[in-house]
Amino acid sequence: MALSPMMQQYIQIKEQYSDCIVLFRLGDFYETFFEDAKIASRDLEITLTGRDCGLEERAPMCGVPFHAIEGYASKLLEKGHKVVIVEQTENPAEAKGLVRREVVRVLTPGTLSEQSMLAQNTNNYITCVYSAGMLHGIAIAEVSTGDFKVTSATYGDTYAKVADELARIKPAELLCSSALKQEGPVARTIVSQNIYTTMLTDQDFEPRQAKARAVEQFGSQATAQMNELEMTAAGALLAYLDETQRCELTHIDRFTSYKIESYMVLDPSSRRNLEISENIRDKNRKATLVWVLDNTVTSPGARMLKGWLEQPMLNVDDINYRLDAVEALKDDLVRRDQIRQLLKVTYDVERLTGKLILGNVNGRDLISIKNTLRVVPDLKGILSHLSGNMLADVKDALDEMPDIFDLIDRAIEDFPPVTTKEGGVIKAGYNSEVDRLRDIRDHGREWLAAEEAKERDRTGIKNLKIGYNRVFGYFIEVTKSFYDLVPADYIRKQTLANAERYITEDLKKIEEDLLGAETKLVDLEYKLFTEVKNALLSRIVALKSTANAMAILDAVCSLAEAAAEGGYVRPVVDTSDAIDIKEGRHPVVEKMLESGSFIPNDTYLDSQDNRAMIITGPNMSGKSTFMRQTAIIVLMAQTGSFVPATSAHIGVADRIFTRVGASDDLAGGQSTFMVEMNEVANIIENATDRSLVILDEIGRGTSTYDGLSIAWAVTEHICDKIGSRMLFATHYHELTDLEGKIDGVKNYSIAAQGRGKSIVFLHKIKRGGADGSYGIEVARLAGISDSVTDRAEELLAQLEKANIVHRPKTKKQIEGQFDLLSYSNFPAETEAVLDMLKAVEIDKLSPLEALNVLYQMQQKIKRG
Amino acid sequence: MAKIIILDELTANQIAAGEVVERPASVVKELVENSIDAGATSVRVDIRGGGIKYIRVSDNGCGIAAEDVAMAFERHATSKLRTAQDLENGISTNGFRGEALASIASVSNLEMITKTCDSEGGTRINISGGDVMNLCPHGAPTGTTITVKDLFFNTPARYKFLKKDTYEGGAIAEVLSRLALAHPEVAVSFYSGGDKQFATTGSGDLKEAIYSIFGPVIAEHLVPVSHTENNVTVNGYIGIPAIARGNRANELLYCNGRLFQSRSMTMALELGYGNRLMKKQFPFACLNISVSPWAVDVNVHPQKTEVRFAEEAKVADALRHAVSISLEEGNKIPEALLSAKKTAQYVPEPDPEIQQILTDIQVQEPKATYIPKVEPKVEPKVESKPVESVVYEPVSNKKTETAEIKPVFQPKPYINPKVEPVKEEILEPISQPQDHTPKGNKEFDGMEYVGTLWNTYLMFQRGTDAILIDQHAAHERIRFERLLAEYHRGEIDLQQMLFPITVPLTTTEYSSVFAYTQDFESLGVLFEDFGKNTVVIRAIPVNADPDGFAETFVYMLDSLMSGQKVEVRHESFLHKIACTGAVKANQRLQKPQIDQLVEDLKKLDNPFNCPHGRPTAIKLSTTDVEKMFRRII
Repeated sequence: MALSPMMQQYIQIKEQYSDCIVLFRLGDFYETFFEDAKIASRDLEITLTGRDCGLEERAPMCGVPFHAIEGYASKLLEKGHKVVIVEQTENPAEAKGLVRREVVRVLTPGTLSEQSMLAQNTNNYITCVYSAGMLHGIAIAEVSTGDFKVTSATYGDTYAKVADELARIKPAELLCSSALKQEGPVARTIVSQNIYTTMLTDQDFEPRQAKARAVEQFGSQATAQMNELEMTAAGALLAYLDETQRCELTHIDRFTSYKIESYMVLDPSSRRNLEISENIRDKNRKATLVWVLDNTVTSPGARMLKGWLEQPMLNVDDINYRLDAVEALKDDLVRRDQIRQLLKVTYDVERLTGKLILGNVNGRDLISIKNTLRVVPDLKGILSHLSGNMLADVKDALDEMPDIFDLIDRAIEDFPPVTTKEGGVIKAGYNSEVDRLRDIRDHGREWLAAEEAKERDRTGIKNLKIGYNRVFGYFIEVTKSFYDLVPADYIRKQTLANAERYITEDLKKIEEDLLGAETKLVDLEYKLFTEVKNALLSRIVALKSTANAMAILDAVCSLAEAAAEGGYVRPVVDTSDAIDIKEGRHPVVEKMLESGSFIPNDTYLDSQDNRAMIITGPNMSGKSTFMRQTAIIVLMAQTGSFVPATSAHIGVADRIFTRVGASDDLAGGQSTFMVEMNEVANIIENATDRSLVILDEIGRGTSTYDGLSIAWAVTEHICDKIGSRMLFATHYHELTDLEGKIDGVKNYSIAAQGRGKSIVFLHKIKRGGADGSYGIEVARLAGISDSVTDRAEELLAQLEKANIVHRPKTKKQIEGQFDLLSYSNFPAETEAVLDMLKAVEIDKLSPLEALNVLYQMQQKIKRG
Repeated sequence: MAKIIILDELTANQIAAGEVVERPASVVKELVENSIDAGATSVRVDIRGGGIKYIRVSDNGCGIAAEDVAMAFERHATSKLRTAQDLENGISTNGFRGEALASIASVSNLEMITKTCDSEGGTRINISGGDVMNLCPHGAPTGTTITVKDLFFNTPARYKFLKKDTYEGGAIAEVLSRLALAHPEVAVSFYSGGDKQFATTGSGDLKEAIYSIFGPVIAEHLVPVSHTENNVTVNGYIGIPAIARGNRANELLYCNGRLFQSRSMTMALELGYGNRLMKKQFPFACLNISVSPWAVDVNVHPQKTEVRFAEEAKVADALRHAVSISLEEGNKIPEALLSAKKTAQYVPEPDPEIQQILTDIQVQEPKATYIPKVEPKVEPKVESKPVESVVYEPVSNKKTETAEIKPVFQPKPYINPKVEPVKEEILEPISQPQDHTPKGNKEFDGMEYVGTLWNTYLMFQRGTDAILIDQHAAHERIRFERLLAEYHRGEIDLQQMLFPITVPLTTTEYSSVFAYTQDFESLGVLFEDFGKNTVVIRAIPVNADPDGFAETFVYMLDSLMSGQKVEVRHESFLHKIACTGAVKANQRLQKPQIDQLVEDLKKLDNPFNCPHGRPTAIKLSTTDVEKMFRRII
């Protein structure tokens, strides 16, 4: 009993891919065997069967039809498996013995190029991180578009930098060493972002070999632009792609390198809190910044815009470069509209170029490319009327490629079929041989009819017919009555009851032409199609440039459209320290509310007297919204977008920190307080004087005094020692004492008016601390019954009287210098007086002495 | 017992409301005018249920101070003038009667939230059927937001008179777009049921506002107008004749920024077009007539749509001149403006009545003269199919080089389908047109085809007669008769569109089109909603031609919208369908087609005129020809 040859073939391949599901092509099906079959059956919910394999027991087998492969493969990928596709590489009909089979593709989440498996509006990146001690090189690629970038983390907290980048990129797959995945910030990010990771070995990261691979791909001159780390990461990534794609990666013909430090840093929690592309609740797009600003009309445009919003810039020139373009487009409704109408009919050419390289384009794709090229001249025409460097650059990058357009237009049918090997793809008039063969194929009937007529005339057999069947092909049928008229050159082929069937030389020749024409035609069409495809391939660079330019144009138009619709203004961005926003609004909240409901507010921060805004006020009054809107406006400005305000002057921020929200991380083993403290630690570690810090309550989750002290100390530290611009919303009214004590601190509060038992929120920020917390009023608003809230009021009164709780001061009290330091001394004074009293020996005191003691005690108390 | 009493406040208000607040559209008009008077640069209007259920107008104007809020809803309370002297001196605001808010509040559930720029908080007031329910502070941005719900909930009689949601919504769209065009410096946006209907930019550019509201098709075929005479200034844009429509809905006239209606001015406008316009075709116009405030009285009608000019004739003249001058100058522009594809030079369809008169005149003067110079084919190639962006022209080859390079991709302009590129004059009967209406239908028997002149006139000879048939006119008549018969039988054969025709509509048209689904069906046109201001035509009469059908559809819709009924107008609709799909002049026909044409003609009772009234055939006898050659006198 031995394994059948086919099974041996299978095992041989499977051994190389023990950690993947191997899909083995068997006729019309892709089959899995043994363990794979069991997994596939379970995960794909299809029947497990078996097959003879030469051993005693049948081999478990589970398969899918070949045309449904993409759907099933997707499912397997979703379940976390890698999928290997093994194809029959020779025609079974011609094979002698075992049909040759080879691995043609390894499907992993990061290496997908099949359109049906990719989300349209998001990129599908694969990232490779190479670590040499503390230094890291990062390579990022998108197989479907040929995009390739490199960067490195070489100083500062390199692990955090890598983690932040990964959080930003959110790759579909990460290649790295096992060490990186064990522990540290990167490991944490991998877990929290749920990144699919493939482990590479040291061998994979061997520097010389990797470098050689990189040079092979990009040429030595280009590769010299990379540093060692980047080169190794790039080479390792390319080698992995070789394995999975198994073809020439010609569409990855260039790379861009960038510095992590040239962009605003956003740690994962800030990114999450600002809800740029994922909202906090359910991680969907609704109610995010992208949702508000995305007016793109193409998928590449949507991806480009999302990328911009996730990577705000630091360089003022770059920012203005984009702002100029947005301004030009915002002010010209007609042209903007025209551009968007033109872009609407284009196709996702970025991904089409990937398809082109990886082999499986069809006629429809080429027509899509043609239709996209068609709009280029008009786009260029419109762009020539718009000002600004970016738009001029976009115009230059758009390549009309009239030769390619013309070629496709002449050669490819306007509505071709999806297949390429079944004909119908080449347009009439392009190739004379194709036309001739088509003529034969289409008019064969007429030829036969003509032949039939001719024979009828020649022979005089009035009811002579030409028929067809599978066995004999075409034949001439003559009924019994006319047998005598049958000429000599008729060769009898078949006898029937009432008729005889004959063939002639002529007839056979026609038949040959007819039937042969179809196959010849199909082959010729495929050959010509491939020629056109190759012509296109030779211009892949221009195609990519055009596609990229269109994506940029779409994204910029999207920002302009959002600005026009939302009534946004152009921010003045520079390297000053000011954040001066007049009548700022939160773009997302504004859109969610009914029109005219959102109340705008000013923000003013600088690095001198207005470093920190301490904001007090009741819950639900809009403190949180106000702070977030400040951060979002700064972020928008630095992405080159217009902002929702009547004016905005933004001094570039290198980082935005947000410490908002209360969330347990029970799964991660952290309490609310712990999470908070982690975030604060991060801020203190990493903030600079050019950062923007948003703190929404610090010190919750622990006892009042602890919390207050920590909040105080943190505020002092950030304000004095670091110098970041900061917004701090807090319940601790004590912190309002900081104004005057620390340079740069200013108190603000959210206006609310008590009205009897209820409260009206005015949502307006104004100078000065809040005059009340209104906690009970808010509780009432929330629906807590009167009995509870009335009782709470009673208790509050009592607590205030006992001075256990520090009530927000009225003006009189402030003037009475009733500050925190002396407040804590008060009980000490009482103690002192009581001690004095205790120590008095009444018997020994004379009346005058007694008066003296009384006087002293009084003095002690009065002083407090 | 006293029979005469003084009405209480509420009743008085409700009665007054009858004049001011006729329907949701009036509410919107009053509120938005208030917003504009308040200096708003941006106004947003949201409606639900056609505005009957819910209207919300939100602006960023100066707001109302807390102490004034309650007063605002008193009758005859206004901030816009102090004494009648102000009226004399000329009103510059839209509103001034002090009636609108009171009236609206008396017949609805109204809420207003408003805040002035110098106050920290805003004020909210709720009024239900005239009674103040609530007045309190409320957080708000600077400006005013008024929400009107359940209009006429307390006056059921009035409520009954409201039309369907779609109609009322359409009326609001119309009112709002008129206001938006009067104030291009205000960004006006309109949402119905949450969907954006239109939004102007508020940039002050009237053309941009027209673009936002009417779309590129109209906006790209405008001619600017700017003319002053006799202290009357006319400014704005008018549309070239090619985008004329079947009703006056697109004739917008403003006086000092206020929309008004006036027969005399409308006539002046149309006269300015001279004979560039067809009968029953009305142009697009958005014009502002500026006169000194003393020279016009706006206090004529409660709804303020009528005005009285001090010197009406002068104003009318100024308007007429402004239009005609601009059109003349504009004559040079359309060539470059229209897209790269060629459209025929617009030649007006001669009025059949006038034509008949001319012909009659001819009859009285049987002067046989020379054959008029037969010009060689002179007209530009008319592509019988206005094609969309199929022709690819690399930028470098474009002749209109620095001029506006229009996108090749462009929806079809509304070309008057009756465009006949061939000049009528060449083909007038050159001598005494015989009584060229052959009796009975044997008139086309026994003809022998000789040839075709200019791919337009089929020539036959029979005995001593030569017969010329205008292939277009003849075909039109044939198709028309066929369609008419089908219509009367109640069974128009339809062809399903392989490539359904999408028809872009204006906001107003779109909100009304579905009310006419039945009517269109009876004419053999099936259509469906296709989203944003577009419908898609799924089936048309078998005899109709898909090309150019979109224009026919719009024409029919406009006629229906202006109140014409299908039963009355069906002939002209069918006529239109027949015409657009008919064989055209300059179209080469093959022999079988010619034969078929003649056969079909023979079958008709009255094959001698096309539905326009022009002759389909004329006859020349040998005598006529010989006379021309001076062979006989």
